[in-house]
Amino acid sequence: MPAELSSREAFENVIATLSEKGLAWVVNQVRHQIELGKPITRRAKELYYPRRSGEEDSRFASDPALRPGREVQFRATVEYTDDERLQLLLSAIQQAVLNTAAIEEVVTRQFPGLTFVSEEADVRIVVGEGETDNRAAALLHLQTAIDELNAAIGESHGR
Amino acid sequence: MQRSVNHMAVSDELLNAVQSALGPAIVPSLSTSSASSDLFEAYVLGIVLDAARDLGAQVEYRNRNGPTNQFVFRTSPGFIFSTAQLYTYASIALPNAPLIEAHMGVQVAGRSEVLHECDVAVLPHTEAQTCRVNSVHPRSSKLILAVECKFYTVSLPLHLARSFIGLGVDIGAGDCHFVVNTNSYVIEKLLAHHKRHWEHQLVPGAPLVVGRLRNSFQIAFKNFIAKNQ
Repeated sequence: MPAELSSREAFENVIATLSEKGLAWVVNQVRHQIELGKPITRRAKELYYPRRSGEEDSRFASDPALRPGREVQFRATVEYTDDERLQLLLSAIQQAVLNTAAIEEVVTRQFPGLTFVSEEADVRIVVGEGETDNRAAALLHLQTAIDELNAAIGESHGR
Repeated sequence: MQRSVNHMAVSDELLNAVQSALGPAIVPSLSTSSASSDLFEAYVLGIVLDAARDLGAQVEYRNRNGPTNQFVFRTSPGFIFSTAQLYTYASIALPNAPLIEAHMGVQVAGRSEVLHECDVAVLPHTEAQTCRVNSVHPRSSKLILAVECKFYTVSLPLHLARSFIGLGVDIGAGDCHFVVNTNSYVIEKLLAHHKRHWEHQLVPGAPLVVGRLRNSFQIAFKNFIAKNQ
């Protein structure tokens, strides 16, 4: 039977690999997103002061005096679950590696021999033609592995 | 914040497959945040040029010495009149319209006369040439199209959309576009509320999004042609 890790352990393992491969900026963006939390919408009943007779000011009544009114939509933020954190990370790899490779392929077709150069020429990045062809097998493996891992997470939620 | 906990177990085999495929799939020089952003900007420039070609435009690549087939783009914002490098731009001849140019990463002067970076800027050849000859910055009022490009691996931080709205105020929001590879509910809501042009989830594998963006750029070209007939 194959060994298994919790999604939290898997997240930390992939984080370590990304950092090792020079993709710490991806890790930083994912960690920042996790810190910000997951935006959701939630319906809640607005509380209101019930009308009172006479001179009594309802605002000075204690909170239990507040009554639930109509239900409206609010924005809320919750923490990402461990599975969602792993999904965020996989999606970030999709963008940083697979989608970047797809963009690289289109760009090199349109601008063959493209070079990015800073004004001072201290930064020079040559986008090699056919580079993505050389990495095609690895890119395909990565896409398959990410899809399978995402499907496994999806299945575990469907159970 | 509330947090619910999942107890999903990940097979070691699946995880190893992701980790072992990562190394050979990346090119270290292109795997930095700035290189990914540069590539994305070049990709968007390509869509701008495709939009023009679809309208029957002839596109020629030039640098300050004349026509070229070398593609040299900026890594960071610079001046249109810079002579530091032979930066490439596209000269676009739309049918029945004055010559225009598409540049990557040049700075333009806003209404406030403050300089702003345009990831992709399209402006009349006359304005661009005036700027090159006199070493001055293009005026935002002359922009035919400006595109702010953002490449992120997660949802875009809100402050970037806020900055874009501020940019739109100073350079004129008319044909200023905000283009992102990911999505963000909050940002989309904010930009839609302020009636800004925006496009999200732009990747080569999303032909509908690419087509929609190309059409949006074509509207700017169409208006330019109409105004100059």
